[in-house]
Amino acid sequence: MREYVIRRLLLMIPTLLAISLVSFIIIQLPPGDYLTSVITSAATRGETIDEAELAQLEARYGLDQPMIVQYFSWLGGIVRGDFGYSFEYSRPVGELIWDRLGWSFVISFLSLIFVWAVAFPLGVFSAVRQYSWGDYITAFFGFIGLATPDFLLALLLLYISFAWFNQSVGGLFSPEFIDAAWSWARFGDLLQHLWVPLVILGTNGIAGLTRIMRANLLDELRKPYVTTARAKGVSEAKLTLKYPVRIAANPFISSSGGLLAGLISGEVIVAVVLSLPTTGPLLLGALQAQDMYLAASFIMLLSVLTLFGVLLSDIALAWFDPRIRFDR
Amino acid sequence: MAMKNRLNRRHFVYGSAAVASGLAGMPVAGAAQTPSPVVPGAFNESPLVAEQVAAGELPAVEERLPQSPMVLEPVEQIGTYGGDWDTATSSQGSGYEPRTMGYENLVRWKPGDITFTNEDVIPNVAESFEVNEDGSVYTFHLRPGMKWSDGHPFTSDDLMFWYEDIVMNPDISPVIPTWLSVNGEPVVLEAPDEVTVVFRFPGPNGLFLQRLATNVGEQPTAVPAHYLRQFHITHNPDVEAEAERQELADWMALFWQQAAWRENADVPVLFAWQMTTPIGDDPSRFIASRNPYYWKVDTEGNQLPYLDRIIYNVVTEPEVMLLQALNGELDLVTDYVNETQNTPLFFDNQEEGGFEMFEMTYTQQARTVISFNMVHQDQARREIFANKDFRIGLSHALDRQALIDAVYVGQGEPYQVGPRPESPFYNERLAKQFTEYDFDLANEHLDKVLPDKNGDGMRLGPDGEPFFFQIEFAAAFRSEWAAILDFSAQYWEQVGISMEPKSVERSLLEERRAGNLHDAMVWEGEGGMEVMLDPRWYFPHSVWSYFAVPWANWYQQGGLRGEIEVDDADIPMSEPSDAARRQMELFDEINRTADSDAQAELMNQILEIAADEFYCLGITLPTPGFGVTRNGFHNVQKPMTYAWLAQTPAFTNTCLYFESEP
Repeated sequence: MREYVIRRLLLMIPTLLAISLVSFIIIQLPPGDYLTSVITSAATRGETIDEAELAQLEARYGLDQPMIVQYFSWLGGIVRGDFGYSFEYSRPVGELIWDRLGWSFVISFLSLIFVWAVAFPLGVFSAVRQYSWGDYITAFFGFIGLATPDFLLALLLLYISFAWFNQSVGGLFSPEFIDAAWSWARFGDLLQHLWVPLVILGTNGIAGLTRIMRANLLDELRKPYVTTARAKGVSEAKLTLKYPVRIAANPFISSSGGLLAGLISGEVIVAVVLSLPTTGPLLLGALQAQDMYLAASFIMLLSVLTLFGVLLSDIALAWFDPRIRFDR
Repeated sequence: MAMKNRLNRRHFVYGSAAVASGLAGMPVAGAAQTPSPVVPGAFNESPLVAEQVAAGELPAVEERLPQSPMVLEPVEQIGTYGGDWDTATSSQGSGYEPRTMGYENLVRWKPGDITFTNEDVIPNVAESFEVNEDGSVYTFHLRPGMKWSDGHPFTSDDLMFWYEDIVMNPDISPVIPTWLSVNGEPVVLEAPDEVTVVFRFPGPNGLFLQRLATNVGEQPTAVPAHYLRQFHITHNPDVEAEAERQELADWMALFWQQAAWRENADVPVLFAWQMTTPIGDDPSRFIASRNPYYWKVDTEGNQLPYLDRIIYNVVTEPEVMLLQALNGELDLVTDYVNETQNTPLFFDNQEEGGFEMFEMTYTQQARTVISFNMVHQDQARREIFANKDFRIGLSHALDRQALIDAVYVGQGEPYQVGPRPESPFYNERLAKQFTEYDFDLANEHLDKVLPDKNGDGMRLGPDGEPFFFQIEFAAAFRSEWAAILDFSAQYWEQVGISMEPKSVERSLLEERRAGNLHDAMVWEGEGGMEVMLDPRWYFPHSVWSYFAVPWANWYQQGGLRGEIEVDDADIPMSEPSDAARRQMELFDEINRTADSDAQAELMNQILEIAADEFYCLGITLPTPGFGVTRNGFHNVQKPMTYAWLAQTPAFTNTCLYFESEP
């Protein structure tokens, strides 16, 4: 088991290097750089910038160097824990991202728990009670959940709370708690806000995992050992939970790694709509302004987060299923 | 006015105490503005500040205010202290903060209707100012006893620090900003005493006051010497090591980081509010709180501002901001969501949301300016686009009224690209010529340029192929451009010209503009009121004069002074046409002129030439839009003029806003 984990950790290094290179290149692909966005916003405001001032800014931000030099100085910095400098915020990237990454992680992780907690029993239920009313209702909402994009759900929720409750959602705290110290009241306030992104983010995953669980369990339930056990008079609950559910849960766990990646990227979009204090709004702004070190560092760290999520789900699977653990 | 008597030459006097109306033929400061109210005898302060004074944390209000605070006449009524200004911004650092809490320059635009001429410039941080006859020496008298937000005195020393250690420091400013130099020679700053600053230019700098009143003039009064010296290498050799410790590229990065008042709550300011939760600390919002040393009072001696704080909620999604505005959660809406297409939404929700709409007039003269590249890289295309008949023909081929009806629900009037009717520079020919829809006239003009047609009636280019060009535009920036260009393409097809609208990303547009790679481009018509400050559409003045970028580059790089070799340039550059060259000379003449009437006369000549040349096509004159105030939020100027160069809404005195109900 330890060997397996170490091997996986070592494999992450080349993956991360590749991600850093790709994310840096992708950010540089659109025409122009941070200066271009400075110029275009100045054009909107009716200010004048002459070429001499531009040259000055270019040198100040180190944008006159070739891309490969910029990449390696950024990468070299990351190894030392320095993520570069945000042009837009005129402060080091490191100061800007950790809080937001923390919230992104919390929300993604809680959504994952939420998805599991709901999808698992629902999947078992709809397999055991196949073609019942409950199964149909689960399937109905499941397909709607699968088909509705996160951001649309978020917008719908926003509209409903405006039209019927005359209040706006968004954010993670009520205004009076934003600057308050942690307390039970503040925690309660957080929970009141937190369920909104969790539900929005979770819907898609719940729908998918419920279907996977249902299909796998149905396969198992038709196997002869189940019939035998039933014939021998094993109680229905024990019969279902002891073997078929355990085996059916295998793909359930393995697909969670991919689910986490989806949750993290979905979180970025939903956070923009709901104005959450997570990576989303900042990453979007950084990409629009071509604030490249900020954007690249975000993408890099979100990828690291996803990689670790996948690793954890693989470890869980290995722990859960001996066949994977011993197979090299 | 002791200073006035000491200066031994004729000069102009502007200011609260002196109205120079007696000097014939010279700019008159007092004519366009209401006389400044008298300084009240006693002063009041916010109860929150009074508590701090009672606790011994702050000195008394009389000691915090300068000897002669600036007195503001409330727009509606004297306000009450307390409350927050709840507002929203689309991103962190979008430039909305300086326009709401900032704008404390030495001089400023007078609140209200502005025409962007010298008459509209009034004292602000400076208590008064004087200009010598030829506009080369500007003397500013600061307010004795004025203080930064940390209580440290604000004196001429701060301006000298700005000049010596920022403007003239080659590390921080390798290039002297154009508004601070004449013919490439920088200004010389002198501080004869603590409250006097003299800007001495090597020659006349006629637009200096106006530029100082715009957003570029923010810096001189936003760099507290007593705080920033510790981060400047001249005064503290250790900053290089400190920058390295903080993993910054060099000491300049550290210096700018410390001087950035939006991101650094520690740097003292002269604003009515100071950042207490600065940008970057809390991703969802930032907060500015009352500056107890603010140096303005109302007519009854109440120290401003009335409101305790400004809360900027960062709302990235426009739909969410719209919902917040419709809910009445925002106290004032001047940006982002008050677009024309949202008018009915706001109108219907006024009662329920508890807000009120007011008129907002824009200084733009067009929402759509079509520029043909008259200095195209391709010889054949250049000749066609530079041919005035070509542009006249296309202009006559457009049914502007139908476009206005279809795209702007009938709001607007056919208009070319010229100063707005309410501007003193209004030029009817420039605004209205070639706007009538006349099919035959269009063909007549086009026949002079591209007479040959193929079987389908499409005009043939010099190469014998059907003539075809693209108009590039940033669809994401203005959604209506796609519709306007689609309609235009249909009209032009009827006169045998084939045009394809091409939507490109904004940065790509900028790159192609810089490389002079475009056939034609669309942008907004700035400078409808700010005629002299932003003349980009009237002659090739700035890099955004899309119709002749290489000419503008030539001008910007000092072509008129003969300082450049066109062939060696690494940016697109070529010698302008005679007409454009004449305009450039006239504009330089404006810079060398201090007298307002003479400036206007020269600008009118430039506009006459612009009318002769007919550089670009406009569609319609934008009609007033709207802003929104929550009921119970007072002293908002209505109607409000929206202008970047005046930092709307800041120039309408946001420190006077107050709430009668939270």
